[in-house]
Amino acid sequence: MDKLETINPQQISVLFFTFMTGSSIINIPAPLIGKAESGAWLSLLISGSIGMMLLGCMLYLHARFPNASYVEYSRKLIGSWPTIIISILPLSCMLHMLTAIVLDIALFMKSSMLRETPSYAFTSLIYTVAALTVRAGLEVMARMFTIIVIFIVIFVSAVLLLAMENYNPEFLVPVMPQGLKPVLNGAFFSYGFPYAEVFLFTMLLQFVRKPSGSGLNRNMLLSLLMNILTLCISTVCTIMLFGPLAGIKKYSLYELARTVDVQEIITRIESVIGMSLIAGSYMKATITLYVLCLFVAHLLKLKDYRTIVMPIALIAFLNTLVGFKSDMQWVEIVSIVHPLWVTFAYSAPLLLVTVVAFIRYRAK
Amino acid sequence: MENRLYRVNALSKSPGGMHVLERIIVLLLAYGSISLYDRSHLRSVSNRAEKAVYIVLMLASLYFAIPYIFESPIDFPGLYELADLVFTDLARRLDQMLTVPEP
Repeated sequence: MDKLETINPQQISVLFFTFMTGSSIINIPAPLIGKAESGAWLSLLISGSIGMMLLGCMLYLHARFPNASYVEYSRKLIGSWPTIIISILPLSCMLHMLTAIVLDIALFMKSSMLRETPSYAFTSLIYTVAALTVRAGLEVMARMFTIIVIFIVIFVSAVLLLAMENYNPEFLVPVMPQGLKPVLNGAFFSYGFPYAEVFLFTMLLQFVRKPSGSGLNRNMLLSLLMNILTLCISTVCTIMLFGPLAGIKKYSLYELARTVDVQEIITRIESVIGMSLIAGSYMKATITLYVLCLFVAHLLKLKDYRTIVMPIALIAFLNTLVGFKSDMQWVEIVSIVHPLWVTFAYSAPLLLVTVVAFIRYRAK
Repeated sequence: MENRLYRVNALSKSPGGMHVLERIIVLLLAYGSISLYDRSHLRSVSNRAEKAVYIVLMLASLYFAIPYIFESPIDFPGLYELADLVFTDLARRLDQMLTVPEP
């Protein structure tokens, strides 16, 4: 039974930071700057605050039900059938997230390095490794991802520091050249990816070791603050380097790494960012697949989530291959539909369950 | 003879340039490796419900596998068609509301 797995508060906060930062540090800056221009960092602060509010709801529910997952306490609070009904959207959204994360790797590889290689060559490998990691369990994931995320942070920091001589701080002003609207648009976009996705951790908080669980709230909040700071730094550096063109560059951090040239010795280090994107996306895909399997297992009251890992990974793999019809449809889904989808799939059910828990607690 | 050859070509190669045979091999590899990997685990699973869910999920995967083999001819309602139906109109309106029109 999956309850035997336990991790400490530090490990879950590392997993949380990995999940929130993994692929977003590379995928977020360009589209966000495209929407909010030089006010992109303000958008991140706004959406980060919403993410913090959602995290507050999750930690409140965890304090009330320390040994239960979201599905389990939702069953207790609103009943079995309403839980099953409101779980349809989160399940669909998790499948979409998994598809999107893995497809991002394939699109990145195809657009930057291996243009003629079919998508399945990348996606099948990522799904295989992710599924095997999920089968290995949460403890293995927590230990392994800590090492990988340290490398990613070092690589990204090194690239941002080495590109420093090319930065032009004048590009940061005016902060809101077209008023508040673009900043709000950017905030809505970055709320959808990655801040509303914090919801997935409602399924994982139960695994935190109880005697040492006291530092959980502090660690989780610290992780989210670190994530907001990291994304803000990455976005600000991108704006300072490319200015108004930053929104047009597809993988702006990758492009930023291409500009690094230190004494003609340290050059062409963009592959480091490529590796970080692949590793970050793999970790996020693994956590998403883990939560998706756990969600289905708890919803159907299965004893072990491990049995259904491979079929769910297979469905996600096939959905990556045939799910969307055109690149245009995919861009619209990710940049316009996704924030609304996660609002109804993650934020609304979480707020509903929190309100019910609060009212019941007060009534008692 | 020439006609028949043309028909075989048209059927076996999609506009994307990927052969039907290639897609069948991809699927056979995917299903085959999963069956081999899960065989011993499924034997150790005593819970009937788990086995039933496993079979249902594998059957559900065929829903995606069949359009993958034949690609464009089958216009099946997938995850994104449903999301499109529910969210796209409202999402577009929100996006328009928050976008500053070009001067």
